[in-house]
Amino acid sequence: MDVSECMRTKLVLAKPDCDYKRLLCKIADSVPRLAYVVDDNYKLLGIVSAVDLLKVILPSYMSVGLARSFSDGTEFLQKQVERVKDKRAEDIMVKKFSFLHPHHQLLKADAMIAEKGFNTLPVIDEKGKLLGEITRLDILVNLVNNCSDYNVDDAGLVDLSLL
Amino acid sequence: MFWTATSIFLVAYALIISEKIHKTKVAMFGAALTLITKVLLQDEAFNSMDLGVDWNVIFLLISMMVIINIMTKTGVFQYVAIKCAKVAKGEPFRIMILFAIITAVGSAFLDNVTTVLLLVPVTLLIAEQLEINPIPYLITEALASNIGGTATLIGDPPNIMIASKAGLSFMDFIFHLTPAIIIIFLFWMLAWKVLFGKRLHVREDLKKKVMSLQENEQITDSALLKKSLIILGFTILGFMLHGFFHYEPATVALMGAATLLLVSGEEPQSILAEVEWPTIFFFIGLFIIIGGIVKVGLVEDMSRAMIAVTNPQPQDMTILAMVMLWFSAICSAIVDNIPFVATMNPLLIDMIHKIYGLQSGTATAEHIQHMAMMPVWWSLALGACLGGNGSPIGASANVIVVGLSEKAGYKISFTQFLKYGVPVMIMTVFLAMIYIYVRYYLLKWY
Repeated sequence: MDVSECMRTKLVLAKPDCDYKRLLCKIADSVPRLAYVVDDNYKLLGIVSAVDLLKVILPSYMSVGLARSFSDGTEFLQKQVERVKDKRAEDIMVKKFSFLHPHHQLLKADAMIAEKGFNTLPVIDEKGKLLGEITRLDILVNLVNNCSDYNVDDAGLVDLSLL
Repeated sequence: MFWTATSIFLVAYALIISEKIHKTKVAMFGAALTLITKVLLQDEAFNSMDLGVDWNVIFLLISMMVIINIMTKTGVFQYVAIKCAKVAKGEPFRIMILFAIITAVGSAFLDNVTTVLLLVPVTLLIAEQLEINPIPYLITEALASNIGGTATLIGDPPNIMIASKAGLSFMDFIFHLTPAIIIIFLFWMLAWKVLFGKRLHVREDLKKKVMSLQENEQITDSALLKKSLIILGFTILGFMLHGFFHYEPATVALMGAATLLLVSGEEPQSILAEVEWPTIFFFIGLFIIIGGIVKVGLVEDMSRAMIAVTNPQPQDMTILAMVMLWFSAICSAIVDNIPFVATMNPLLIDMIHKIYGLQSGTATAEHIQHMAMMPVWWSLALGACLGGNGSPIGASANVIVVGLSEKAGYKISFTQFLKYGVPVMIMTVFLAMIYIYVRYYLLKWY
């Protein structure tokens, strides 16, 4: 089975000059929490995840140890959020990323995701144009539905706040 | 053979200076070429005291790295830094001075790079809390690490190499170099007081932010901290007494590292994986390349040239000591001081043979540590270590500080570092020159 057969094609896209707040809104509305930064020809330039947005808030020197030295870090964090508001997608995005081509076998996607611990991989054509994405769950659902006797249905969510 | 060894040496040096290829790759490939061309035989490279790898240096470095790797896990450095900022009551200039002192002391007994790696993040945090530019603080810490590292045998790799080659003990360094460094440090701090004393002021509410930081939260493992401090204390005591008990410093360090590894409960795999193996293999490669040029006689030629320039006499080597000090300082600002000292060590040994009219390889500790020769060894150590302040690439600590600062959004340009580094280098080397001249040639206090 090819990657093209089970990739998602509805993606969150952003331009390189998209600002931090807009990026955050885009990502907050999406599953998986990713935005693909593309140029006018949909060539993939980079990827921004929720982790990247969080990382950019924290200064590079901040460690778990140093974070413990604050009794209340709220003011510090507010200052950092203020500092990053002018950041653009091109400043935050990960520029080196792994990817798949649509003709790749699902097995390769499965191996890459398992080996490197990715959650999602973009699918691009030979010229770098973004075509879609494939997630761990997509692969899993496809594998189970095609290779076993049972289908994966929605297990349903439990709202713990109602308990 | 002469031209083969010379070519390997020159090309390796050029590549190390250019930084086009990682220095460890260059040193290892140069060493492999030295062996494959039979400039140096493998037996000589691994077993000869005069031509081969100095295992005393290698094991001392590895052992100290193991001790430091375990100690850093306790959070003690961050604790001390935050405590100092609070002791300074958030006053920016006092913080600068105290951070310079802890960097210098840390670098004297531990590793320069590790010391700055641990202090830079705390400095950036404190600077952010005080809303001040961290760059003067960060450059001060880089300079302090190079100055402090000069004070002891274990403070900086050039000292470890010089001690091993010249058979000098930890206490020799304490007796001869530590006073020089204390004087130099005091003068430097006075200069800093003039430069920064009246410029650094912050609002009271910002000082309160620093005072609210919780230093105790930095200690992650107090049991391990106690064990580490006890074993580090015994190791330093061992260094002080190694000459008396006729142990090499590497034996003392190995004992400390092995004991700490044993009682720490840490997995050896993770601790040993954190040893800076590229640095260790850089040393091994360098020793083999230098062994090659010693064997073919290039070092002997360089030694003749140095003798012609400085005209040393068996009882008086004043000019040689002064030339060595400035030459080492200038070279170390441009070249990594490790290959520089690796080259100068055999050169000085060869000069000793010529000055005292000895057959090759017959110099004893009596000649190597001759009263007239000692100021030359101290000049080499002072020049090579203090010279590292002369440029952002002059010492590993400088490179680390510049890199971390840039990553945090504070770019330190080459010229910006020079603005601080060059005057400090010139001032400290000049003070070292006065120290050497007054102590050894005026007061005759050997």
